[in-house]
Amino acid sequence: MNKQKILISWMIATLLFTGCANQSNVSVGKSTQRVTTMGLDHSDFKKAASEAIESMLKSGAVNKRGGGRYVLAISRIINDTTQRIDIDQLVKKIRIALLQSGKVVVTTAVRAGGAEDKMSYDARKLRGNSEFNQRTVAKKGQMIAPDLSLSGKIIQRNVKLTNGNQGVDYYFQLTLTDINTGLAFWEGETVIGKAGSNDSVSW
Amino acid sequence: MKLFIFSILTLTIFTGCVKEELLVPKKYENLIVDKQIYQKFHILNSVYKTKNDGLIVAEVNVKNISSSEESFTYKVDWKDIDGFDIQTIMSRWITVNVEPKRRAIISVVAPSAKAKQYIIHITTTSSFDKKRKNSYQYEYQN
Repeated sequence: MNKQKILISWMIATLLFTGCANQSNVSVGKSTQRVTTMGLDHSDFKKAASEAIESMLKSGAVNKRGGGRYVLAISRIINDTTQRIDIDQLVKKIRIALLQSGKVVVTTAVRAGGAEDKMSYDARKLRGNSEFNQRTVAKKGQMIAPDLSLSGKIIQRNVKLTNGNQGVDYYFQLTLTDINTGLAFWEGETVIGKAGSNDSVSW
Repeated sequence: MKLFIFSILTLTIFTGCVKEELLVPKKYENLIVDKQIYQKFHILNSVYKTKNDGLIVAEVNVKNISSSEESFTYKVDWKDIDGFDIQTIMSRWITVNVEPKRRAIISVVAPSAKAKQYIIHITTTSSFDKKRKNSYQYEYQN
């Protein structure tokens, strides 16, 4: 009888301690431990872009009266940091999200500093070229002028922390301007702070 | 004696393995909350509406009921009319630190008017969420 009791106790204990184990065995890729710099990286751009989009959509600034989509041109986004930043890392994420929202379409024919895609203009040089079927060549007056312009600035501020370490604050400031009136329909700012030892560098 | 042991075994088997996640019924139908959250937080309310432009906006009011600073992590999944997931950079795990006895508001907006349903997952902050802060650990970046 004693043996039976012990056996049953073991069974209960086994059920209690192993029965509720997690069924799923999720395998997560081995992480590569690297040194994190105090510079900006892709997750910072992702955060800044998603916060900007969320703010834009909440504000209603990209809702065109009477429906339809606004045409957005990318203006100048100034990099006022010590890093060499490809602004498109930020802008592309915003463009994708805005396009997915169904409220904005971005023109590649107009951009501060020249068209992003010069092909829109180059293809028009085919007018009058007998090698091309002229009915397939882009007609005059077909391009759509932008309604809105996205401009901004990324600012860096280095600060000394109370514990002796250094901190870097990055400010992502973006503005959506109504080109027709010149009025800023929407403005947003995301601050990303990083802290590190004095040996860390932000470039 | 045998009946007693049999009862214990039956109870253990059928009630011991309750799922960790609790689907909050009725009022908070769009929330999936980790049961452990309720030890430190109260969900005060959860509301949503569809704006004139067709975008759903939702808010969840969470209060830290403990006497220490605590954090939780949330993510919103947006679904189209057929229940398919809508991929967006706005759907990512976000950790929120809440001071003792203070409230935090989860405020989200749909990425497009195609989003007709949403689910907000609220969980305790794990070591994975901390790894997400390190952008070089790409595999944890949502």
